[in-house]
Amino acid sequence: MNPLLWPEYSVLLGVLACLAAVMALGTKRSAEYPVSIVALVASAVFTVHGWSGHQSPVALYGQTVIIDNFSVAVDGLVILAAAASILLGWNERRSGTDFPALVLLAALGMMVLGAANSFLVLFLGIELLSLPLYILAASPGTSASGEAGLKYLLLGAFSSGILLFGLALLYGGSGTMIFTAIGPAHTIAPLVAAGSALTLVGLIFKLGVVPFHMWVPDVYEGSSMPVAHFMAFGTKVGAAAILMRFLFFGFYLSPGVWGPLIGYLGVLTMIVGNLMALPQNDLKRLLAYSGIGNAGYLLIGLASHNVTGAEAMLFYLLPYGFAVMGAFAVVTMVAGERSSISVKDLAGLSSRSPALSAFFVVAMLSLAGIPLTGGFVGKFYLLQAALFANQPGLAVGLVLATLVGMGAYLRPLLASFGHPAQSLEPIVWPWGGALVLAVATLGTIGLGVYPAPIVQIVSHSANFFWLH
Amino acid sequence: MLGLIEIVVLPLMGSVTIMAFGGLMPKRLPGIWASLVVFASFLASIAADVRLGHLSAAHRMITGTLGAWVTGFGPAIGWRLTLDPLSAVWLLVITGIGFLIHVYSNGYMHGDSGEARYFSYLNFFIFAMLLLVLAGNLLILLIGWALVGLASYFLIGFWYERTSAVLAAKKAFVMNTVGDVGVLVGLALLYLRYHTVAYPGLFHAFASAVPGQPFFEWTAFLLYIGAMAKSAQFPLHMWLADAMEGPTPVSALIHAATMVTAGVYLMTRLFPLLRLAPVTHEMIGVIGAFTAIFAASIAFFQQDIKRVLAYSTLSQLGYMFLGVGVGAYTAAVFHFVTHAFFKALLFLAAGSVIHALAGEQDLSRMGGLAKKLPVTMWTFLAGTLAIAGFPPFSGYFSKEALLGAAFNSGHYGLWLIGVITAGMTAFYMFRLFFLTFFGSPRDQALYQHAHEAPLVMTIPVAILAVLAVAGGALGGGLDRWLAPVFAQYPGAAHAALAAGPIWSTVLTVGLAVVGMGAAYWIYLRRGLAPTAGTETAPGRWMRQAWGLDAAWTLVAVEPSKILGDAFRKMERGVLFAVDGVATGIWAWAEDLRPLQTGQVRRYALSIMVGLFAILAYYLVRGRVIG
Repeated sequence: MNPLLWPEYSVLLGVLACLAAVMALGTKRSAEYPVSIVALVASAVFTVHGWSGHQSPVALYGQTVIIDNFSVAVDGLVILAAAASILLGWNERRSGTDFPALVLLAALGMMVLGAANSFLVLFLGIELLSLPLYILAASPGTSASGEAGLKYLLLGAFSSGILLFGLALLYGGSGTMIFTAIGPAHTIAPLVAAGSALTLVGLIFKLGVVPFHMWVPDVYEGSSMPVAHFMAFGTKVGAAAILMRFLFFGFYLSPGVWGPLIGYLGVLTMIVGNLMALPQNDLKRLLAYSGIGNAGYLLIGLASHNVTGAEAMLFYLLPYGFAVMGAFAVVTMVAGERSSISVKDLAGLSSRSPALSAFFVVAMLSLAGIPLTGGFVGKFYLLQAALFANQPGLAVGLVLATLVGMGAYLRPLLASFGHPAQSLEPIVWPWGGALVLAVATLGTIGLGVYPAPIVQIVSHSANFFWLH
Repeated sequence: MLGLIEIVVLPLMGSVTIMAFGGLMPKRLPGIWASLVVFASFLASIAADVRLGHLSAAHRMITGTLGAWVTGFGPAIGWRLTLDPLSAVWLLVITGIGFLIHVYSNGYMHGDSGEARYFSYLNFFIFAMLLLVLAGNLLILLIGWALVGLASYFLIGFWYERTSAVLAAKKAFVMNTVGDVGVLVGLALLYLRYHTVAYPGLFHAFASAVPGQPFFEWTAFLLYIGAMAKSAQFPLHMWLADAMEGPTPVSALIHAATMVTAGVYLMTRLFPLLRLAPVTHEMIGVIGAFTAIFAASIAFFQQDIKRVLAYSTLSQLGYMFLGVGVGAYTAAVFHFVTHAFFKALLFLAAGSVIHALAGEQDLSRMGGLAKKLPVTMWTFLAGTLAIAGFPPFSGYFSKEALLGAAFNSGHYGLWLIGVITAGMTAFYMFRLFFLTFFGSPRDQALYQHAHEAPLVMTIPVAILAVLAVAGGALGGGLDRWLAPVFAQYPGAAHAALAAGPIWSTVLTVGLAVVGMGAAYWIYLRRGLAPTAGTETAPGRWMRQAWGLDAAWTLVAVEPSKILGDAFRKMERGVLFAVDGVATGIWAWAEDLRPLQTGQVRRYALSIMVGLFAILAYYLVRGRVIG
């Protein structure tokens, strides 16, 4: 038992404890929710402790795993996402008893991705992340959950096959499984090039990058709210983390090869994602396309290939996560017993529940990138990274996509301030959702007004020396 | 942090607690609590100043960074507070006079339904003003700068049921925003060039720069625009007269003693920059002198007791800027201090009059109040003598220092304007004094009910009266206290106080006596009504402030309206276009289809297309690079 891995161990123990609780207590009394939260809190404590404890990277298990400040920061983000999902779905009979255990298991996969330094660990993490999500997407929450789960499983298996093939080619071409051991001579060998291409496809499929994005809206639509939230936040964190590990650690010598590709994909993704978000009526689909657009923003950090880019990318995950938490919490509360809601259902929200509507405004403005919210600061740093990297194309793409996104995010806002409420049923405030909403709103505004502490953390986490 | 943070945070805490719990507090508690908080801040200021005084002259500065604010991705900007002898002077005046005015407000605002809200705003103003003067860099200064504007907006519009108050508040805010933009752009230019906005870093860089470059002229000019708006210099001066819609203690604190002198503070603080911008520097003096005489002329025919005082404030601010413009920085600060004493006194005494007359501010319904309000009359007289520059009252010394410096530095034109304005000041101030307190009562009903203010109001006024009478004695000490600041960087060689020629003094005082005599002759001996002369052509122009409001409306407001309309139309167009795009996507997009018809086959095809594109890219790119 390596002491540095306690954040992961505690989540794993949490999974086991949840399963034990379900077995011991049956489905009548649900002890698994508190148990899972306890596990996450413990993991968070170990993460914070680990953060303050070690500054230099530690390689474990024959260099296949690296624990450094980056992996610890990813742990923190994943814990936040998982905790928010579990709180949103607290004691939700529609989610089923296995919901907390599956969320923890997927979270474990994301944490593994943050620390991966080898092809095997990469694949392990991706599968550990995906398999619980297949089940969660298929668990009966919405009318179309079975179809969504099946679709996700089919396409996920498809992309996993591509990923595995790519990893095999990479191993064949470079002769090593370790990212940091790939030599300069290997990085441009044709076999390695083909392997990188296939691996990249497998990874950006998880991130939801155009043209590998089509599953995202369907799966979100078919999943319950907490699960969709977890996919929107947690999966993005895991996929972004492994992309950064893979490209910045494995192929840091050849940014000229992959840099432009990531840049093109990023601009394409953010423009398509935000454009497609414009006409959506179902809020979950809207947030799905928003997630796609945000995946494009994240790629800017990679394509810049400088310290600022790495920091900006890691930073952006937090304000994005807070905004997603806020938006999904509001949508969950407004939906109540329904499984999905459309923009029209928001009508008159401001008079129905002014507080909820105010929280919704904060989340949406942050997604749109309005100053004094974290979303603005995050986009600003990405813009700065693109300009420092002398890549004005990325910057222009970011600004255009943000402009389009403004239209997409303001439409639901407009509806919420619009005509008197069509549905007058009172809004129930579950305490879990209220807590998530409070944290998300405070975080969004806090990051917008005073980002310095997080910037401090980020600049210690993503400050890879070879990027200087 | 080093005793500075407490000074700033105490009033903020007062404001927040009153805002949050004001409704629960007993009726008088918000006022008492607010006054106590400011008093504590005053004591902390004294303690900090004493500690500052113990430092050696070369290092007389207490500075500390609370934490980084903007970090990580470029040059860092911190929450930085700095206390040096210059900010120390402002600190004492803000908290000291601020405390007296808080106490006075306890009497003046008693019974107003918005009492808690009033004290919350007033404390908030003190916080913002302290942040402004204690700022260790220009960005923190700008925050304070904008917040005092906001506090001023709240307090001018305090009686928001009155349309005129709301309009005045809006006007003040808009004009102040013009200045905020000037400061923002100015500091952005400095940041781009020097990668810092902290004073020491900038001033070190300035010390070795060559004067006269356009860059310095522009930055100095932009920062001066900020000072111009905040300190109501011509042509951004109109908001100050309208700001009298606020409660009178507010006029005393914000629109006379402290906030409107923020411009003087900024310009004095930036003296190393002014050295590099000789044209702008000269312009500051010219505009200051013009504002002084221009505002004095408007004050001649005003009918409202507070408006006379407002225009006299404008005029005195003009004097201070004249001092800045001729490089007499210590004299400008000295005049700020004495002006804070006598103008706060005059406003509070006028407040007592207004209080006694149940809110009446019109001069044509006053008169003969000396019998009813003896304390107020005597204190008002002290303030009037001080502002008119009669020796040995405080205003005499600071005004002499300003005019002497103008004469010594060869600005004879500015000096002459200053001397003439001194005579005019004596005339309009004594007109005000005589019309208020002497002659026969012009409104018997009001006169019968007039009564002296309660002690809680008269004691602060009396303390201010003592300061207004004796404040001139501070001059020598102030000179020594500020000397280290001006010795630190080049650009303030003539900052120290210096006397002008004796005949200049005689001339100035002589003119003041003539002005007083003329007021006595016209309004007491001949007994003319306050409205006398307003129907003549020059009187009409002067009374309406030379028609500048209409000019501004024509030049700035109307075009802005047209621009705003144009933008609204453009926005409509953009919205229409966005809707169009959305509809277009609906008609065209495949994966908008809801779940049940989305085909996995098609999705997989998209993945394959993407895969082959990326594969091809990699193979080609690898070949190209290799």
